Amino acid sequence: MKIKNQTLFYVNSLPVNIDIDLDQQNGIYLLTGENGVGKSSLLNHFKIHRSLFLEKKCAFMDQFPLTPINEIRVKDVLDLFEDGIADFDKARALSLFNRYGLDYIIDRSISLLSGGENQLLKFIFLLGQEADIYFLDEPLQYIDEKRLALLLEDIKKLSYSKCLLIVEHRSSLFENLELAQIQMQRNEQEIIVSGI
Amino acid sequence: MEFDFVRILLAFFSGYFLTVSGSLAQLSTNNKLASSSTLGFDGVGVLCILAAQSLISFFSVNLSIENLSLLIFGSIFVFIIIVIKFKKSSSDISKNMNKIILIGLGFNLFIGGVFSIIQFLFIALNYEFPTGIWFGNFKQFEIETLYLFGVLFLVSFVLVWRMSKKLSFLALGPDFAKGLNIDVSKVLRGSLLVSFFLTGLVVSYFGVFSFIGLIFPHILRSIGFFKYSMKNELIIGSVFAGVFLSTIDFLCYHFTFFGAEVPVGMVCSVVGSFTLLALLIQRQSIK
Repeated sequence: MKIKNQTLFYVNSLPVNIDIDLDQQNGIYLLTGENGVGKSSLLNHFKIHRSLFLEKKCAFMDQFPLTPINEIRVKDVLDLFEDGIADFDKARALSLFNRYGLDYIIDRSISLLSGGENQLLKFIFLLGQEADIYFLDEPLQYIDEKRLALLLEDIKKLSYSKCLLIVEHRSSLFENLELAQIQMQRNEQEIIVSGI
Repeated sequence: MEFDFVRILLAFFSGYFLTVSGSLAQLSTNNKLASSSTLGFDGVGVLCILAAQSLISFFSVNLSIENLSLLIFGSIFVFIIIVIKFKKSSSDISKNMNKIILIGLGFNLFIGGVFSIIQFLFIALNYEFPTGIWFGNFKQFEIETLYLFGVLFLVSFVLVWRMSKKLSFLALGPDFAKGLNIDVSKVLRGSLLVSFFLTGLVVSYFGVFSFIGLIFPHILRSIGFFKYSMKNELIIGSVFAGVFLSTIDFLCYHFTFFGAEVPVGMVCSVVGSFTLLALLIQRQSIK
């Protein structure tokens, strides 16, 4: 996917001018920028305008926790995914619960999960989906050190065959990985999204 | 003991509509304390009743207040649909929910004020005023109303069934649902329209039934079968709410207070407010 010098949306009345290539079949693009520059808004825009990626399937992981209005349990959501989302691999998702030591939350209501458990749950839902491009918005927040290492390992494995766009402030966490960088910078007239 | 089946069915349909409306309001706003009242939908129904009474009193329109009020509401709804169709908005409605709630709350408060002024004027000028609308009841109806409500029950049942999967994902949060390629703006618009229509329909014809749309979804979510599944809450839970309201109305009809029938809307207000307090206290003590 290439977007050449286009303004696709606005953040706080500033036009977001995008000039990026996401044409790799696999690998990691790290999206960085100061707080409030619009990184999450960019991902939100991609969620709604998937036609930008032509025929490629996209999967998203938000930075915000899941906030159900009822007491839905993790296993109920897994059933929902199995029933409602094409190409969702429930067996893979269940194996990830085991890998991260989270089997105990499967019967638990999502509203009772801690921040870290909620974050890992979203990551598992993401990896359970079969997609061409994965968008992750601050996937490593709230995660303990032991599970952080596992998550980075899984991100690395996924990047061998898929394209990942990751929003993350702590680029040092990815220093052992090969990645391309995309920066969002703000000036008085506009916000520029470009590769480094 | 006599059974007025038409009245029982109308109370059932109304309970179903109000509960579905309440669940959809909470889903759409991702707010457990939202209801069709906080979104101003009750207010539109009351406005229709006031407009109908004014037309009858000042212009001698030869229709019952219930039918005229329903007609006015139907016209408002059709007008809103036309405006939405012509004014195709690309804005993300999920980001404007707080604004919608504030406007709805403000509108409801405004209607409360308008109601008081019009009531005062009508009584001062010796015109008949529908004092009973603030507490809904099922005393006045026609058989044609049953056919209308019956058809709308079937339509809304099928519509909610078809939307239930998307609504279940929406219940996890609008941003999460967007990530699953669900057109959240479209689903939200549809949910709010259905919620508005169902509430306006009941209120414009039968009057206000406070708390049903707010409380019943909460009561359902305290029961295992409903609390883990938005689909069960919307489709089956609302049927239970309909049965509950028709039962309460049946009791109000047969057990009068010194010969006067207590409006079922009054019972809902009193019982509903205490139930809400009890549920909130119970949830606090569990945490």
